[in-house]
Amino acid sequence: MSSARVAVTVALGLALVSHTAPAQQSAAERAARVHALQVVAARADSVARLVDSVLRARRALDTVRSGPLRVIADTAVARKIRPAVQEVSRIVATRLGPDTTLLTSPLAVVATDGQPLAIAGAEVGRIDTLEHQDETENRVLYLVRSALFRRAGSAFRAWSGGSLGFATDGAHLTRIAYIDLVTAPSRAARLCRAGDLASCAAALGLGPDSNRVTRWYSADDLRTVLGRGTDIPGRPMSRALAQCEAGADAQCFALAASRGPGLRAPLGASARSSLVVLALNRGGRGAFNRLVADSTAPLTARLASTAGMPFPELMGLWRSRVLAAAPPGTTGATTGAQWTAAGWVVVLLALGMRSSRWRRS
Amino acid sequence: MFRQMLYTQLKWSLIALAALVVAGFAIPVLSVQQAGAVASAGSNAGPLLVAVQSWGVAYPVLAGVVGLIAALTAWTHDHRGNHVYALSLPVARWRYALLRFVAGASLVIPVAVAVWIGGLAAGSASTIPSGLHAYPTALALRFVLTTLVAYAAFFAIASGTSRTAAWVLGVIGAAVVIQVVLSAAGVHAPFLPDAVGRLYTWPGPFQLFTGRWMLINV
Repeated sequence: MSSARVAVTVALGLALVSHTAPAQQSAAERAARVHALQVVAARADSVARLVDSVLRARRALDTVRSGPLRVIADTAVARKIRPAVQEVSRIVATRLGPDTTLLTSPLAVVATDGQPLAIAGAEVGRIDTLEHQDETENRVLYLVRSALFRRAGSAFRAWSGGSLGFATDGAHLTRIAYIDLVTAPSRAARLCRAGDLASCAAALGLGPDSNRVTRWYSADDLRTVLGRGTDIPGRPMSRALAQCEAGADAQCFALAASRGPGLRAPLGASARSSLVVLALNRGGRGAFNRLVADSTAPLTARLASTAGMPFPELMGLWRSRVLAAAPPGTTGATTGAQWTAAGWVVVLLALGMRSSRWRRS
Repeated sequence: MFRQMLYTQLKWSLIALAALVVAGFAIPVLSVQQAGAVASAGSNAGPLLVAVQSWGVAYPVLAGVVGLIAALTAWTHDHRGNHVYALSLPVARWRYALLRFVAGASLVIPVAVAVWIGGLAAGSASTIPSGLHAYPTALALRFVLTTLVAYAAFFAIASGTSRTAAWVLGVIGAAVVIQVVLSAAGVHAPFLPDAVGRLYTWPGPFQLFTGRWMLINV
């Protein structure tokens, strides 16, 4: 056992002793204490495994710490990526709420110089060749996101479409969600706009899996959705799709059902990320830990737990936020553009008034 | 004097102006002609937006044509008479040009009003899916500004002498030739596309021509 593991174990033992429960303790209090100790133990074990791995690597490594992040990197790389780690730490704190220090285990990513390096419980990625700060930040962010996703479980990863909303700010995601909600050819999206919260969940790919096609799309919607990408010149349309296009509703539903998971829910990654970001922000302390606590639980329950409110309430909040995020009409020119155009009219008029035609030579 | 100028310019351009007014009214109406069918097919916003967007290019084209016709009408008769009439008037050159400009700019108004009324009619006559909105006023305002920019540019060009026009064309031609020669020599210096791009992006003069012209949008 490494000295680090011994130290962690001793610290954990001391914590247990200092937290010895009094005799008169309710079952609920005991359960809470046990859970808290399990969290501490998991965290300690994670740290110990990380340290063991680093020691075994026998490389000149350095650790860049910022907020919840610990980025282990070759010494030369560590100096280079320190500003990027600080920026990413800020972004993570923004996305995951105020509770980032309460991650069950340290979030560690490893930046290497290209030599193989395996660190337990950490994402490993090559960063040393990147020249620009932006690229480095994006790379660190990618590694952090991967590490977070690994904890979130496969069901969440598959549902969320590979994004936790780190790439853009929450307000931007909500604006995109509005456009998706308004323009999606989907029965569920229309019902969601009308106020049916169950349809909102369905449009986001949440809720029961039964009858998902009919909950998502009408026959007319399916003609649009299934027909996408089939209008390639010279490529014949399948007979089933041709019948669907011709008005055979049953054929549309049969064709959609045959696509299985290939038929996606109406609202995509941006809308889903906006829901996750909302849940994390509303959840406050421990939000992310609650999201990743039970990867086998239904996504609706996990999101409700993350936000700390019943799922229908979360859905209603999301819907009202999205509908309030209608972007300003892009038809009209911005005020700046209007003034600029007016300025150019004056400049061009001045040129016209100063024409050389009547000037004395 | 301004009333006389306005009257003569209106008379010279009456037929063209009438045609442009009809076009200004028709474009927004035609752009939503599919709205009824789309609404009855399940209120899908996507196809409606695509249909409206495909007509969006007609607005800047119309703005350019209106600006061109108004500017040419303002100066054609002066050019034809070698500016003798204008020189015989007891007004300064700048004041005469300003009056011509304002009179020509006034001709933009009927077309812009037609676009606005057409937009209002199209917006009220079509079934717009929930979540989408019609923007006839914003569209008409943008149309006015775009038309004025086009008009001012053509007015400035038309007010010059043939020699000035030759200089402008010569500079543009030389830039094209230099760009072609540089490209042929393998030198990567895309100054011409950059310059054109700057004209059409903020704060360039023609930025309003680009972007989406959507009568109906989110």
